[in-house]
Amino acid sequence: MTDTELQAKIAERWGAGASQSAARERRLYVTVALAEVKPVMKWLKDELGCYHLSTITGLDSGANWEVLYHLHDGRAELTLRTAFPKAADGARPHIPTVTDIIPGAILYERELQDMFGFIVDGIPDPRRYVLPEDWPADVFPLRKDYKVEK
Amino acid sequence: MPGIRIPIGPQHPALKEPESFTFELDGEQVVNADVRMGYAHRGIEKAFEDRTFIQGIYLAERICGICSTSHTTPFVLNAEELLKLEVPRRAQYIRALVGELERVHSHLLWLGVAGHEVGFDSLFMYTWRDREHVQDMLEVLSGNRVHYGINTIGGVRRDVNADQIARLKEMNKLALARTEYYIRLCTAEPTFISRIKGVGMLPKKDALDLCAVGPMARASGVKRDVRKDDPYCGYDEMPFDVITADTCDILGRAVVRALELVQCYRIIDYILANLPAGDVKIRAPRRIPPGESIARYEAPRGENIHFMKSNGTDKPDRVKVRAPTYGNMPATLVTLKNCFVADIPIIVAAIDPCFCCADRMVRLVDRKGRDDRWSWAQLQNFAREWISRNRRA
Repeated sequence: MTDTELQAKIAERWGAGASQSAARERRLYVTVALAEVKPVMKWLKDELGCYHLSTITGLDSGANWEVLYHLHDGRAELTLRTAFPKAADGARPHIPTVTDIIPGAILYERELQDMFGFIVDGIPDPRRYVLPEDWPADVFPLRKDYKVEK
Repeated sequence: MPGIRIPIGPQHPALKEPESFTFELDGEQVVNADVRMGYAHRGIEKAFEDRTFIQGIYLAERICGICSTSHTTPFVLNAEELLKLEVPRRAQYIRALVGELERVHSHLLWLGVAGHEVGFDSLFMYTWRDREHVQDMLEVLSGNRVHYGINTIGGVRRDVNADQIARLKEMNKLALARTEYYIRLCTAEPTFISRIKGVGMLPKKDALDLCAVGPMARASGVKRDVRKDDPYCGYDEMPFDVITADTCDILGRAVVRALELVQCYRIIDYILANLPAGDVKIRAPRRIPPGESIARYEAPRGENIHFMKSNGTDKPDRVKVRAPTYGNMPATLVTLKNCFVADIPIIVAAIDPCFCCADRMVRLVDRKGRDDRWSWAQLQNFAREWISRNRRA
């Protein structure tokens, strides 16, 4: 399927709920609301064959948290992304697990919990993965407010 | 007596790098396996944010000791995409050349390690001897055996001359002849085959569900290779086939890697015969305009993905790296289930976990003709003096 065909199919099914852009050939972005991540991902997997999740990238972009799911259908890299505002009281953000759709996401979700402090709701195995067991519970190294001690 | 749990690692003779496996055993059989990583976590993603893009290339090079160019290439590809640079074709071909040499030495290294883990140490010694020819060629091309330092933003740092091409062609012929011998061995040597056939099974469904990458996925019948699916560095012009196997076991992984070597030699031959003329580098600005870019790269161990976000300064806002061994970890746990304890080392080795191969001393020739060999006592003295000189007050 070419990029235009992929984009047309996504637009036909999800309409305004999924805004699309393309950085170049084979680099497609689909932006959805947080609540839509799971249904859209399931549809992408079942209907468009995007069954490979390369990784999940977390971003701390000032006022927002962003989560990027890097999927691909064997040809095009299709990044499903969502952004949502940070809580005013600094509470840890919640995202849903996608391991029931793509089981290979488990380690990436555990890494997100460690490095960004996301709480992945429904994660089958919430243990630490990257950081040591005695790492402080409220310090998340990839957040922008974490400064490396020189 | 089910439910016995034994830890293997973080430090264990069967592992070459620190990671911790926990096995639940029923007699000799593994019922369940669990892994804990992070013992060698160096905070590189955070460190990228503190360094300029140029410094970042050197940092990316040091993510891995075996596939060093597999990390700098996606890093510079991302930077070039954000800068909208048209990199000279000659530079792209040289990147692919170094990438393929890296794949050859990595696969030969793996064959040796696999031989060693199943008690076939002659194979280990033969492949590692042949790998030296490849390492020498990398040294001829770049000046280094491990961290080649070939990539820069806008192209490559060194050109390839006619003499180097002639030597590479010679090496390629020699390596091909040796590899044909290893292919016969992987497909016909009964002791080797019976040791690894049916061991470490990864069914195709699990390979897909758990997002396995590289030879691990291809040996389970998943035809997936970034060089074909999402070409970069001119791979769409180069002739090669994606090798798969459907045996889903370690034998399949060995056969896939051995046959992939032949494809590497094909690509190297094509590059040497068709190296485009022209520059190897164009000037690149230090500041990179705001934006995001994703680069995928087929490392020897599988898909390697880099994500880069720039904020318009000379330092990246975020660099995300996912190396192939990480992507293969969930699938590895499946291959370890229901195996025998004695098979653990070869099953873990079969994913080709990445460890540093930098353990080699380069002997520098002293122009004044002095002997440059140091005794142990001299080394100790040197270290003591160095420390007292550099110790912080």
